[in-house]
Amino acid sequence: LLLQEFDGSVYLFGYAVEMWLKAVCLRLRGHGPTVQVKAALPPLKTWMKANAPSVPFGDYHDLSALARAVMALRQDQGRPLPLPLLTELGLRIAGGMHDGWIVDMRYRRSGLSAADAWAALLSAWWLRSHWPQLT
Amino acid sequence: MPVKSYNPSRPADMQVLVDRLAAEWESPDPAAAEPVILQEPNHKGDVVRVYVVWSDWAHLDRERRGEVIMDAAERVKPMPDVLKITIAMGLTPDEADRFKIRWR
Repeated sequence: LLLQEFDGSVYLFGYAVEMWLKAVCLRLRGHGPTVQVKAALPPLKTWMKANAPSVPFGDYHDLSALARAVMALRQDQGRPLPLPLLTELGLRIAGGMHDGWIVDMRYRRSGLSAADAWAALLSAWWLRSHWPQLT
Repeated sequence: MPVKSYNPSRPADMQVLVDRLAAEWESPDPAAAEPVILQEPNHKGDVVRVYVVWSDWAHLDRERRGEVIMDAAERVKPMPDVLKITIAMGLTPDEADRFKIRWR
């Protein structure tokens, strides 16, 4: 970001968000830190299909689907996210970063601006600060 | 001109693999060497981890193999049992050996 590489910055912030969301989802599914992530995601997708069928779970990099999985898992456990967390997660990630970030950014430039990159940083920073509260 | 459905995210032979795995899961063929389906229960006896060793899906990545397992599980198990599965790991024989899974 300091070097004004805005595309690369947004890609890395989105990638970090994806990892935090996956960590939250897998913790909520009862997994420990050594779980094989690629073996744990298809059962999560099936769980979402049964429990939150309105959420399109296209691929495993979909920030909106992963954020909504966090919400659905917490709801299913009888511990729905408190309204401030639910709102922030929805606005910043499911409806914020999700709209501006796709994993294919690693392969091509999108001409993103400094404002885009700072917005992504703020969203990623929010998740970095709050992901333990989501579990 | 024919109109065909196109889903680039799903390999063409995935459904065939789901069909074959579900058939084997439902009625295991004692003569078949593969696929080998390993079901690991938790302390309550519920199957929570499924490992499948199979040469025929070497071209698929691990996530796709997991999806094949889950799609097949939906065919052969009641949904409440399917939803108890939290790990669906698809491996080739070489990979299973490297993971030191006793499958032979």
